[in-house]
Amino acid sequence: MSNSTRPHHYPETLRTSAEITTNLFQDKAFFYLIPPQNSLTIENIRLHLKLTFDASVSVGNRKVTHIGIADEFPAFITDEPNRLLQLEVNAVADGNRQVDINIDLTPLLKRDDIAYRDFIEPDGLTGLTYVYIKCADGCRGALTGIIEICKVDAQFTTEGIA
Amino acid sequence: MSQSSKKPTGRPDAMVEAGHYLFQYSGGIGGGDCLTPLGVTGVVIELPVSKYITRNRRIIFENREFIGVRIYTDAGPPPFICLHSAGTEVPFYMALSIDGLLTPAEIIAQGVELSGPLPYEIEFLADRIPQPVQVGWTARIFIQLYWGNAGYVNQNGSLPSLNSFLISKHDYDITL
Repeated sequence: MSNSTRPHHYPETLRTSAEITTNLFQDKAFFYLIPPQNSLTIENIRLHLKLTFDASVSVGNRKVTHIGIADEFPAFITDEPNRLLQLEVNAVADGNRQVDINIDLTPLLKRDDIAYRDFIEPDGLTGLTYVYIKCADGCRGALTGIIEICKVDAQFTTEGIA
Repeated sequence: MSQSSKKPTGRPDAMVEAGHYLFQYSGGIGGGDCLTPLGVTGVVIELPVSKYITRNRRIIFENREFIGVRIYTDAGPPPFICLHSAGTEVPFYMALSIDGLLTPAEIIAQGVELSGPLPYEIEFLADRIPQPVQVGWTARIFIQLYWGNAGYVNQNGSLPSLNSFLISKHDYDITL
């Protein structure tokens, strides 16, 4: 083994995680994938979202309007994240009230936003990467539906093997 | 030292499964801490495990603070604008199965009865865990929860999922 102290950068550390069968409330949600230890950058990210809207949601509101990348989860639903880049997808539910979205969000990434948080976020923490999911404004205020699957795959570079 | 002639190649750690959090705003009208009824009497949660396991000795789950499972009756509209709120706590049952097909009666008979403030740990010893020697083993353990009334509410408004539990310890034997 080398005795060099030069940091070794590993360009291909893949992480994947999925939320399955969970109620979605209101019109927006933020998915945070825990990055590997010693992350340097996040290089690419993909989302697979399958959502079944609740029967109580009116037909016109059964759509995912935007998917994006945010750097924070605001405390109030009316607040916007500091940094939010989003794609207007306007995916409308089919006859089974379902939308199924597979999307590459890599162009929206800020590559050094790889900060780690736990469930309780420390004060003043910045530089996180969340996948932002936004449904029609009319979904606000009630149960929107069930997330059948919300799976995020991301590729990181790390210092050493993580 | 191993006497195997095989030399390991590739990366020593190829784990790709990561954890995550799904953050959202509570349900109800106008936001705030509103709850919605669970809509089902129980759930089956799939837990994939290593295919090299030959015997499961012990699994300890942590029913997590904030996002864990604590079931209440629905007390109806609280003083503010929600439609549902937590009433009296009711216990729920948790059992592990090989195929997720235990009946409610079997979950009650074979499982553990749980209630109380979060977080707490739930321990299953070998005799209550599906084993690879059983017919139908697919390297998955199914966590079955049963509370018996679709109108009940969970403490955080969400349907319980694998995120509700942290596997704080899993003792097992593996093949080499």
